[in-house]
Amino acid sequence: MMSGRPFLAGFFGALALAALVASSALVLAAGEITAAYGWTANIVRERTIILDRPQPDRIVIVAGSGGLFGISAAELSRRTGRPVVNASSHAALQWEMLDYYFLSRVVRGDTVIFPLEYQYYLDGSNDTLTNLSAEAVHSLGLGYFWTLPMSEKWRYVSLLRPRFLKMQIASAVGEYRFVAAGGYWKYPSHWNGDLDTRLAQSVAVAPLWGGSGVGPKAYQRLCASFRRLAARGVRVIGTPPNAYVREGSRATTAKLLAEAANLFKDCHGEFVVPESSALFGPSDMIDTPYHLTPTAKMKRTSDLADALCARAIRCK
Amino acid sequence: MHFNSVEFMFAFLPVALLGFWTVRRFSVVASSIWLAAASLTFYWLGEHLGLNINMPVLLGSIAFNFLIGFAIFRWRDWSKPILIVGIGVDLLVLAYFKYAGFLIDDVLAPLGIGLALDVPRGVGALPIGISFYTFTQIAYLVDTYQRKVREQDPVNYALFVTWFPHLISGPILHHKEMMPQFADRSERRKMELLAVGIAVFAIGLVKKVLLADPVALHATPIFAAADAGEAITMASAWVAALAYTLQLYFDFSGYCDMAVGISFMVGVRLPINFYSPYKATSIVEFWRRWHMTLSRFLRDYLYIPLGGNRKGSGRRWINLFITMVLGGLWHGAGWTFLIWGALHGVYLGINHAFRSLGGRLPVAVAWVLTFSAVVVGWVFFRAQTVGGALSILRAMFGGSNAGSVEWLVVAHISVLLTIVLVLPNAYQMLARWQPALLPRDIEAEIGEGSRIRFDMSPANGAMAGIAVAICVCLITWQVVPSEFLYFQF
Repeated sequence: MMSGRPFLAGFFGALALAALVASSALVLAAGEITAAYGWTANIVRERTIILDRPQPDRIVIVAGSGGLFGISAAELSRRTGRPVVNASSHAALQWEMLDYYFLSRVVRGDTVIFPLEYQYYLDGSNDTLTNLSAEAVHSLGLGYFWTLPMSEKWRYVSLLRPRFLKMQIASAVGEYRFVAAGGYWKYPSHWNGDLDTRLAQSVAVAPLWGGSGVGPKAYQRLCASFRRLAARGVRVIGTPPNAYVREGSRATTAKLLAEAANLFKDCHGEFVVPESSALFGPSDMIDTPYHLTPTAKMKRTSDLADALCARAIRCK
Repeated sequence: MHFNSVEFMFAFLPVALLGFWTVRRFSVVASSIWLAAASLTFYWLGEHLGLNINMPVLLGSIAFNFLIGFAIFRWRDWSKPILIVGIGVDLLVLAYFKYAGFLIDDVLAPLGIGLALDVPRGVGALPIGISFYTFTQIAYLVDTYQRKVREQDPVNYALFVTWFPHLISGPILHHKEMMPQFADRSERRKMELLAVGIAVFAIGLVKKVLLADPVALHATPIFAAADAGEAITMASAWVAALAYTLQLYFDFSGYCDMAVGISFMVGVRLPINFYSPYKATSIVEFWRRWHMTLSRFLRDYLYIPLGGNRKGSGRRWINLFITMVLGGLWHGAGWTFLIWGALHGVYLGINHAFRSLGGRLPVAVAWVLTFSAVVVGWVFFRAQTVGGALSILRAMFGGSNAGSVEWLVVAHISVLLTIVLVLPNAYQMLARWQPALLPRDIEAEIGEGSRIRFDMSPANGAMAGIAVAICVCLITWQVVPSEFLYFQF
């Protein structure tokens, strides 16, 4: 019998080389904005840049696209007399991503308003990585990847689809140039994070199922974040999302909102409910049950400002 | 946890091997304890992580059979009734999990006998590996009764049953062929065992990921359509039947190669389970080469106790038929498996009758007949419903709509069939190291091995490394669906 050492040297050498090639491809593919979920990545990137410019007495809105399409930072600023940044992005991003990209950037004296979509309160809804979230954050670089535990790192890599990687690498080596056009790219971003949706038209959308209660895991996750923020001298204020909810699930959704209010209060936060109902109708929506028409957006913002000034913050 | 999962290949297996080789330097007994613990961990980390029915059933089954084995040896006068109780309870547990739902829903209900019992139903309710570890333990009880083996150490017994390379999908082991290997205190050439084990594992992984999974894409939608009652063309029916024939072969033989390779990495040879079955030129020969440890079990513990061929040719055929029907049902509780088993019972009967009449066929004709019979059988094995299977068979042999097939599909199937028929198998290529336990006839047939040999050169190592890396990429990015077919049995 002969020794197996030469075989093992070849085997592990080849595996090491393959690992090196794969790692290089992943590194090369990181940080490029392309067609695949590039809009989400770009929204996050722009808002992190805005958040890195501190302003005294700042109000920061953190949510998914419901906040982006449903609240006007400019109007809220006008009504409260305080600088407002709309750091909302996409509800398919996991809470840990909002934490990493946005909440890590708020500073003492800031007030964070969370008009969180219902899925952030539920267990098993958007609490694990998906193709969208992994590819969106990979388009922003490797920063988030390094924060993941080992088992999640592998899952993250497995969610980067080959065609996404191919496109990203092509972009990195100059073989492909992404032109941002169409889709949500048609709504430009403002210096305060607002999305200019003035041209958006109402389209019939199906209502969503709000939810039946705050999940225990979601509770722990959100509570831990709110407590950390409070410990850093940041005010935490929750508010209902603007959503078109199915008639049959309004009672359970109201129960969820009551539990959400308790969650904020239990975890060093506050919960503010605007006078007008947070439950909108089909004519208020543009393309999803979370995206308000420009008119509904202004109404929602103005109601929120009134509620905040009356019960939560000092308005100028 | 599957052998082709990244967690298994790059986390569990390296830790299990490192622990084994480290512990073995100090104590062979401790290394057996380590392997038993690793095997139970492997099972616990499996598909349904956490607290569920799997682990209690496995541990209960081990404890029960160990005690029964002990009792059989201890109370010789009572050994037969104890054996009957032991086997009876094993079969009852298996029947409860695997066949109760089928019996109530598919046998009694159509006869108008309604039983409102809450019993496990479907593959998901089946404790993982129960068919394999139940048969392994029944064989142990019979061997103990026949005074062929004796096991007094519960850890050794647990290791024998749970040894992780075989636990989920076989091969079905015999105590006497495994335990001496675990207890062997002689010096082992670790690097060589690792190298050969990795080579066999890599061959199995390639079979599974590069050959079996992609060809499944040709079979799955057509069988689904047939089961849904849709019309199937002749061409697509043949594509589906042949594609599944190849998928099953590469899937299960790939799994077995991986199991043999993993076990060999610690110097323990598992019994060979596949030996180029599609090269067989008779059904008798096919069953000597396909799922060999199941065939051996059915022969030794069912066919021979039924009387085998000792009571005349008529009784022999009946025994064969019963054995094959039960063998079919072992694969799953369903009419399609029963028909598949019965079909092979008939095939074997015809084969034996033809032989006894002194009939001989040219090799090519014999191969075509054998292979066609096997393909027809797999249609029942794969289909979810008898109607779906008959629909495929009607289209294959009497379809009015010929239909057409893309040439790429034909080329794909042709290439795989060529691999099956022309290339030597892993055990021929690695004959020099004998990574598996071989029956005498196969050992003699392999001899010095094939002309295509696998040596332990760095180039071959690099080739295996690249193959594994490609497979890992395909698994990671789920380019094709991946699940071992025999996992469900």
